Amino acid sequence: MTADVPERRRALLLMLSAGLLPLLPQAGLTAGRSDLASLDAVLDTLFPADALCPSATELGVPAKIREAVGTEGPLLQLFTLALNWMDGLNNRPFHDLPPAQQAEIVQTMASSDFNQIPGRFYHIARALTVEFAYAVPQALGGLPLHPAPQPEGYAP
Amino acid sequence: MTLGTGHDVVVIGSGAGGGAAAWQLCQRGMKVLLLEAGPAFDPSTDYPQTEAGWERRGFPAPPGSRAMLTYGDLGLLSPESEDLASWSRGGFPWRLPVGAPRPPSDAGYSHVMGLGGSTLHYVGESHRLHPEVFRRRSRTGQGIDWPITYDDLEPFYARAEQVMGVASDGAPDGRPRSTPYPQPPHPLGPGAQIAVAAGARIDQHWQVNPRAALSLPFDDRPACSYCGQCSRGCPLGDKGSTDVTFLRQAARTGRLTIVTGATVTRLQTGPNGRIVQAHLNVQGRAETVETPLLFLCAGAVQTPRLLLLSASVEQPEGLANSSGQVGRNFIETLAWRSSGLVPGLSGSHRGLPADAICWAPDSTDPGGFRLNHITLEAGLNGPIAYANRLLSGHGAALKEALRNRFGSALAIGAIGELVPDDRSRITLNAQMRDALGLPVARISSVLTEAALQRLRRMARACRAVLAEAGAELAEESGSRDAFTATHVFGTARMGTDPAVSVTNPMGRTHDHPNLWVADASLFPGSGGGESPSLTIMALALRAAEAAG
Repeated sequence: MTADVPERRRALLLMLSAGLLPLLPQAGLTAGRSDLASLDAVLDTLFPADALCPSATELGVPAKIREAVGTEGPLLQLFTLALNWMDGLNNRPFHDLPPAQQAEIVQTMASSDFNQIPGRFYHIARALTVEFAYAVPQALGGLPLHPAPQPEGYAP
Repeated sequence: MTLGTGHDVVVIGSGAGGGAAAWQLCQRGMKVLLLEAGPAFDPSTDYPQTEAGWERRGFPAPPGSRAMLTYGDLGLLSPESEDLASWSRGGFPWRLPVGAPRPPSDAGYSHVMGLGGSTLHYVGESHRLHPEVFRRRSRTGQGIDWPITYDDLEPFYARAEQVMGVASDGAPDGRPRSTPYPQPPHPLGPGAQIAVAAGARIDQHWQVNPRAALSLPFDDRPACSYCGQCSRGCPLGDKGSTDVTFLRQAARTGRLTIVTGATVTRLQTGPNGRIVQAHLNVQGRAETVETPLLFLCAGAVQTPRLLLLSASVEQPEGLANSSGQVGRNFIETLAWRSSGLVPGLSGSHRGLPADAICWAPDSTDPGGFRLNHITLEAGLNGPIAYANRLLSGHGAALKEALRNRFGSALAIGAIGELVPDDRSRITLNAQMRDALGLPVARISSVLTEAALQRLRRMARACRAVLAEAGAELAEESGSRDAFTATHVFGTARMGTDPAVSVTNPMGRTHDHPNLWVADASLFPGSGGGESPSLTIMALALRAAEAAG
């Protein structure tokens, strides 16, 4: 058998994003916008720093996610709608909220219906964050792994 | 380079069948022209396991290394089989609805076109078929009997094991041996040790899995370093892919010419049904080569495709197809896997993939399927897989859970016998053409109710050993939800009766005296879950010895 590879999920992500979304103008996640700051905030809520491992933003995950989301298509629409929804929940955008309130919102999204935008966004953002974060050697702190598996290997 | 003449034999394909056939033909003193449609790979640059982010990469797929194809009827997801639906604790809480068409798996038909074929990304299980497989219909009434016996293949199994350097311990497994394994067994990893111990308590006899991965240096190849990346490409050359074993040894004879990027587009017949020429495209250039003797080893999809593409006025149904059996009897991989987290287990990412096997886990279905330890093979040797498949949640809790649970995954896989449905076949899709304008293959493969019943037994056996090991189930998947093509067989089956088979029991086509088939197309049945590469090699060695 061949190994499972996260890259193969890309097509699944696109499929999961489609069919759920109204057609929106293609805005893109661009530097300087509020939703960009909120994206950083939600990614760091999903993957915060601790004593052994940097946060998602410190690992450079947001830029990789923006690249994966692209400049058009259903994945971008999903992210745009979800971030706008998150920014509109209170009188301040998501990234200006206290960490405890951010965590509460993300937890609510985690337990919401996968067929609604908040739930779908949570699962896809989580999967991408994990994939990009743990591909960086600095994220392996506390795990019994070499930065790359060769040439040391893992003898039984 | 002038390709047209100067060779004694043309071999099409360089995987398990083509590599072994080329080796044997060179050993017999023949000049071999080997045509490989894909590129050659360089392990030092194509499998960059020294770079970070290895878990995000699969086996490389440069242009020209995967065949275009389409899918026909793969069946529907029935409500009666929902108990076999895939699920994952850490994955997306979503599944295809009942009644939806069964899709191909994420990997689909991912066989490699390249020097070494799919042995480049195979794990390297080196199994002999059980003697009972060859008389399956006589014994059980299922499938058909093979026209050969285990004894016919035994010397060639031994020869292939020697060339590759297969490692195992020789413990009894019902497959008599004339020679010991050439390499001592690899030590079992922590996950396998748990499976062996748990299996023993529930009457599942687990043992060392024969593996084409060197446990000691051999033939200028190093011993395995246990990087766990067999299916992403072996960077050291210790795995027995044909590029570093059969083909490297054949090249030493000075009688092997390899041409990569050479796609054979049509075979042409001459007097007495002989194949006289192969038409090919070599990196954009049209060529023809004479075919005094021709070995077709392109696998169970591309071999029937080329035979069908070679239809002519004289052979309107394609070559070797007077029986109408070319492309029929396609057999996919009937597969299941269950994964869990075992409290107290650590280091399950260590060791050799697929290091342990259980040949007869279910006394009610003898010879029907086997289990193996697949924690590494299933990709559960890196943090991305843990966090996205086995663990739920997010934030500090997820990171902490990962650190606490990493190394405790245990995955058990099952592969079973599958008797093909009449609808399961390879045809040409004239509506979809490749870069050369040729119709691509269309795969149709439908699971029968009997297959689903066996899949259910396979799932029960996987769950049983995991439960005995104390595992919390975290993920399951299987063929019910997705067409799986790890091992495919049967589209130019061998037999004694030309009316219902494509080749004779040696692999020579009934219709063309110089056209031989030497790949998994020949298999009349799938076996009881044995991985097929060693049998493909043995069949190819036997055919090449007879033809040469």
